[in-house]
Amino acid sequence: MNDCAIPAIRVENLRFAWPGQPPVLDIAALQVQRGERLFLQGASGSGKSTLLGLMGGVLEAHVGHIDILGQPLQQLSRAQRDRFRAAHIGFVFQMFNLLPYLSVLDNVLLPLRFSSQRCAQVASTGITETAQAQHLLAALGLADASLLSRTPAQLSQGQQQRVAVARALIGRPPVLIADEPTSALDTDARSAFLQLLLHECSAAGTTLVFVSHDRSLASLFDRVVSLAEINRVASS
Amino acid sequence: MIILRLALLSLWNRRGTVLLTVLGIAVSVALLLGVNTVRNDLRTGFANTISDADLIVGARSGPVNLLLYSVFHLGDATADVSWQTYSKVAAHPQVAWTIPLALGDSHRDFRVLGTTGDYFAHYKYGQQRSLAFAAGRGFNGAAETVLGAEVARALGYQLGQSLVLSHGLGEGDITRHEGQPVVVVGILRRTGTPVDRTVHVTLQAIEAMHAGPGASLEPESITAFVVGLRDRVAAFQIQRDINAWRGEALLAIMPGVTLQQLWQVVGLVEIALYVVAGFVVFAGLLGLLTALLTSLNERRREIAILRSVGARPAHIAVLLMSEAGLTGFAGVLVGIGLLHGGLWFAAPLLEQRFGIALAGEGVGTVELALAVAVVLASVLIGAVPAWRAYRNTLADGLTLRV
Repeated sequence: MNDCAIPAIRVENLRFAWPGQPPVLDIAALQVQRGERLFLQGASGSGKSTLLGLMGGVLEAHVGHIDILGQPLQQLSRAQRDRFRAAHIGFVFQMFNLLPYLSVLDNVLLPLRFSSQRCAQVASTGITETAQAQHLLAALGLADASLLSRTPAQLSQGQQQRVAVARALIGRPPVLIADEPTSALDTDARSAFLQLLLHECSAAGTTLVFVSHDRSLASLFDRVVSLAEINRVASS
Repeated sequence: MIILRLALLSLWNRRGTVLLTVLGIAVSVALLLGVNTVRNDLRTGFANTISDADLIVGARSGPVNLLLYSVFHLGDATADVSWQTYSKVAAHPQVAWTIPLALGDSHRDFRVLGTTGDYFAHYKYGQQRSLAFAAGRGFNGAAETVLGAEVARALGYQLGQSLVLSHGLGEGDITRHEGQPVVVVGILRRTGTPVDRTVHVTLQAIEAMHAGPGASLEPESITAFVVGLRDRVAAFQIQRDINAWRGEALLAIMPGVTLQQLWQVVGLVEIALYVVAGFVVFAGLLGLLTALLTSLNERRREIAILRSVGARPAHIAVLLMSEAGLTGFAGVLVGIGLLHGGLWFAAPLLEQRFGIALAGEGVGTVELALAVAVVLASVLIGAVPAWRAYRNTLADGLTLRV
């Protein structure tokens, strides 16, 4: 797994269609290297979310291959894919990332409850889970300790998105997938959020797949891929 | 463990609607348990009211009717038994003891029973328990009375107090037998039977009331009488003999047998009540299903978040089913609480009115069984939204459909 020659994500000859509908995705090849920060640009309805679902192992590709960290997802059973996702991939969505009835701290710690590997990673640092969460939140500009016990409803949209990033990063999953995480933020909050996100991913060596329709953000990333260009369904 | 905690927190987060669902189940559970408790306690109460009596004899009417008015003081006799006939039966060689019962008078809403000292010697209730005095002694002559525990408590009577009895069973407005006061010489211990609500006097006192001073105090008739036999085996024979009595139309019943007849009649009503209560529980559980399915759409986002942090579909299913189970469990707990609260409130009223004690003892096996059944049914009902959620998660992927 630690072999850096193996790409973080490798997609090959992938085709996907929802049952009874025409195909939405047909991708010849897409690779994301370890530690790379990729901007995946696509308009809504271009199959972005479907692609992310496939990468996360929530959806199953019937044709083609998706390898995450060298692991072909199609070789795993559904439960194994769920476990694999929990251990290796963090997710941040557009909005409403947090469970309204859990405190900020419990929201951040949630992935550890579902993945023993991420739990073990936190334990190996010798720092308590709470301290680790606090550390991540502080790095994302949420240093105020009183935030930990608040509920998400008491936070601003931008604060909520940063809490979501802390949750996605706790236990250091090698891959972080962010689906339009800035679209609910205003311009100032957007650039602040992006800088924090990119900085944290670099610091942890996390592979980042950042999906957005907003091309103005693309300059901050290592590489830009347009879904329209690689998806043969959309171009036809 | 995390799932259970999430279930509790999620329920708490939606406590408004959850509370209504819990109340719906609670009321239905309380109703079903209430029907069961009242049925059992009434049966026990009735069965415990008279014990050790082989036969009850009265003028010919229906057996259930005779049992109700003679022992439970419910309803009225249509005819009397002559003293002569009573004396003859009492003198029968097989008869060990008799208790004459003369009803038809009242004192401030409580029935007056004319009888003899044999009542205190031979009347048994519960598991062959004899009557005992909380204070004083048995009556001796026409001017004395012995009160049941509830009479003394409700009216605040004490030993030495004198009271006036009235003819008939109305409230005060009927002829009072003025000038024939009786003095309280004894108060009985509480029995949890209609005895508690009875004012006991001698047969002579009843005669004196009706005949006026100076008349002969030999009673002419009584309402009914209780018979104890030397040998229980003879009961059928004696019963037949009495039922075929030439001089007077009599009816002899065995209390246990007649009580069974009564339950057979009442049983149909009980079954109907059980069926209704059962359907109400079913409706309560349907309410749970409705609430779960309604909340499911609002919770698609919540479920997608859980999926994204690594929850498997099985986790989601367990989450929804444990939420349903917890809701059902809370419903049962609140329902049992409602029932016992209701009993605590209603039991004294029932005891005052009918002299039947509703025990409502603790949490019994039936309550436990119902609790387990309702919780299991709730978990099963939770399987419906769990299945829907499972299908949704597969169809939604990780998309948060807002």
